[in-house]
Amino acid sequence: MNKIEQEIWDYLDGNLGEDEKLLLASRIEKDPLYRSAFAELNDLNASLATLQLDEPSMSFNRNVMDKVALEPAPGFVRSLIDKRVIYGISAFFILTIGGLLLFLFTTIDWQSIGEAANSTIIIPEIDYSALMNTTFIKAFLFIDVMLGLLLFDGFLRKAVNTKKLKKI
Amino acid sequence: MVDKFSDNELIAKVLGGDRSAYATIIARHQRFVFTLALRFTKNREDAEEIAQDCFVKAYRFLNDFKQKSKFSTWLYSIVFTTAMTFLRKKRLEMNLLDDNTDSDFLNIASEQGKDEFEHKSKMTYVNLAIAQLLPDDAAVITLFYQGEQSLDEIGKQLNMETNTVKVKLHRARLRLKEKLERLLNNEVAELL
Repeated sequence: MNKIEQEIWDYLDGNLGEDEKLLLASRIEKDPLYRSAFAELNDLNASLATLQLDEPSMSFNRNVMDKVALEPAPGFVRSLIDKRVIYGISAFFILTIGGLLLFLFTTIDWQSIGEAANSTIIIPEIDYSALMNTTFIKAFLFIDVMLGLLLFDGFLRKAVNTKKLKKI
Repeated sequence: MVDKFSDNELIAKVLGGDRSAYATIIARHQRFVFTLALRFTKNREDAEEIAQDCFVKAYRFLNDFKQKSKFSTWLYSIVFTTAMTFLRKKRLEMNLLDDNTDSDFLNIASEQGKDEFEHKSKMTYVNLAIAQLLPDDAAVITLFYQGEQSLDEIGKQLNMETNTVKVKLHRARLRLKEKLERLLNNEVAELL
């Protein structure tokens, strides 16, 4: 592309600064070479700007909506996995650990710690038999399995979506 | 309905469970998406298939649209990549249509309708010249003029630097001008 055309396209696209624009406008006015090139490119530019868009078939919208109807709601499972489940698991562990620590700190005999350098920390005995009954273990395992399945489902969907996104 | 809500408002509705709002998004963008796809395929049936595929993909990954750019910019990038994948699948070389012979030109003309060809308006010639361009040249011109996308936005869609897009646009218009001149010269020669 010659320099004149390049300059005129920049002028038409609005890519020139104020000074450059004024300079080129004066060249177009005075120089016949610039004037004819401008007339030609301006005409093409106007034609391109007024081109009509093509119309797809009348059933286009309906066809897409029919396909969309077969798709799951966008991002539903992913958002569930990313936020609720992850936060739920985090909250579960934080609460469990926090509760255990709180229980330990409230039941430790702090006075006996300072009495002797070689003193040992006495961990209070916890009666697990009240908690560890069959129903508790079954419920615990059930929740674990459910969480595991949800995470596995999320992992599989993420892998498929990543594959599809790479294609996009 | 089409103009009542912005794209982002409609997307929020769709993500909130109102699937029918997506029909409005389709109605708003279908003509441009179809035109852009047509620039790549040069064939209405394939263009329609690509355009439908793009809207379905956009719906599927709507949650990934972070609204940092315009929805149209995101959507057109899907059109671009889908069309490129489609062309690759069909094993069409990018320069296949660059050296169209007169018979190719006539085929394209007949595809766009005999009435239109006979009418021979300026717009028809511009459309024919665009149809003879390389798909990515035609796409850049379409995005810039008909999609009203800035050079920066086109760069995002095509994964290119803004300056590269600027050069590409200049070159595409140069080639378009050459094609147009060739078409008009052929026409004059026919008349003589």
